[in-house]
Amino acid sequence: MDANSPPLVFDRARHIAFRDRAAPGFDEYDFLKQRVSSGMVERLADSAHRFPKALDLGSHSGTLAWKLGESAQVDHVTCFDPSPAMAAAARESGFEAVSAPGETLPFEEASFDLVASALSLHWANDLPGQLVQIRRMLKPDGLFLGAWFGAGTLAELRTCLLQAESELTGGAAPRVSPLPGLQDSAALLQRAGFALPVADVDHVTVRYGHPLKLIEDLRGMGEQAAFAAGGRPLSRRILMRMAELYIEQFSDPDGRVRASFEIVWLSGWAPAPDQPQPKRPGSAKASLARAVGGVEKSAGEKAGG
Amino acid sequence: MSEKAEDANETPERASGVDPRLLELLICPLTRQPLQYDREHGELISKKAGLAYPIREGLVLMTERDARKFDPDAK
Repeated sequence: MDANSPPLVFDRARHIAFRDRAAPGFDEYDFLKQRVSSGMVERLADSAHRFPKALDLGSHSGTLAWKLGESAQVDHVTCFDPSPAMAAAARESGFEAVSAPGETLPFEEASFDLVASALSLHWANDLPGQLVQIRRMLKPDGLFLGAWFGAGTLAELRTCLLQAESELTGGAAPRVSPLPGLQDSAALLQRAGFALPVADVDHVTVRYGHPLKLIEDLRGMGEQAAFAAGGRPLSRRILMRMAELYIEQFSDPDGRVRASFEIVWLSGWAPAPDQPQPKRPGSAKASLARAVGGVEKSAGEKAGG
Repeated sequence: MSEKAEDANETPERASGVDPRLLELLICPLTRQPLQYDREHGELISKKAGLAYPIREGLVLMTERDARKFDPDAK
């Protein structure tokens, strides 16, 4: 990072240490990773393409790699994770694995037919830079399929931590990562030079017996906050007050509490000459609404292009 | 999974768990330069960075902490 780089949001070494710590037991906490990985393979099946060489970027212990390997569309999967312990776990599952701690990905240009990334890229300090690197690592007409936690994830926890900490200490530090929204994600894909970029969002609600079980899950996933700015660690007192507020405000009638996860899905192709090209905006001669015989109204929650 | 491709190439690299075709795709994350594979020591050498990244039981570890350092200018 040179002097002109924007300030770092995340403490990468700290996040890697959390991932390392989570690695041995990750399979007990990988329900979201499992869900997203299955969804990703389903989305892959939407395309008639074959992908001889695939990279699982931010592989954790190899959950997605395993599902990709089962797909008839993929021949060979390489795992990459910034955490050596996660990469070692993927290696133990029988995958080729590479680990490097920085945000420079150690792969030559045009190396892969598919780069898939499930719930990892939201830790990048330089997300635009990561996407450009991914596009370059793809062969022409290669596919990037990604999913990351987007804005709105853990909204309840964010609110309750803020309330608890300001009540008890008179101030509050950020405790939940800033995350890209759907529109930002779509724009990032486009700016990174992907063809046919598409982004959409999947709302997942997880219900817990107690808010502290959510905290335990986040640790199990290696997803606890790792801000570059540091700040005071969360005290037991704040955590307990957070839990009270959480139960007050976000309980279902059966007493369980809700935790929201917003999973932003992304896909884009590395440009190639013979790809279908989208028409220029405004070049249409008839309205789409008329074409489908409906009434024009504002679009739903879908972005991209 | 690597199984589908496995039967094709039973080279020493495969036995150590690293496919030579993977090694060709790797670059040094610090210098973005190609790496040289030292088969004997099981290392990937980044000449300009003066680092030799270890390959441990098939896992390529491209961390400065784990790398063997050498003087990039020495012959």
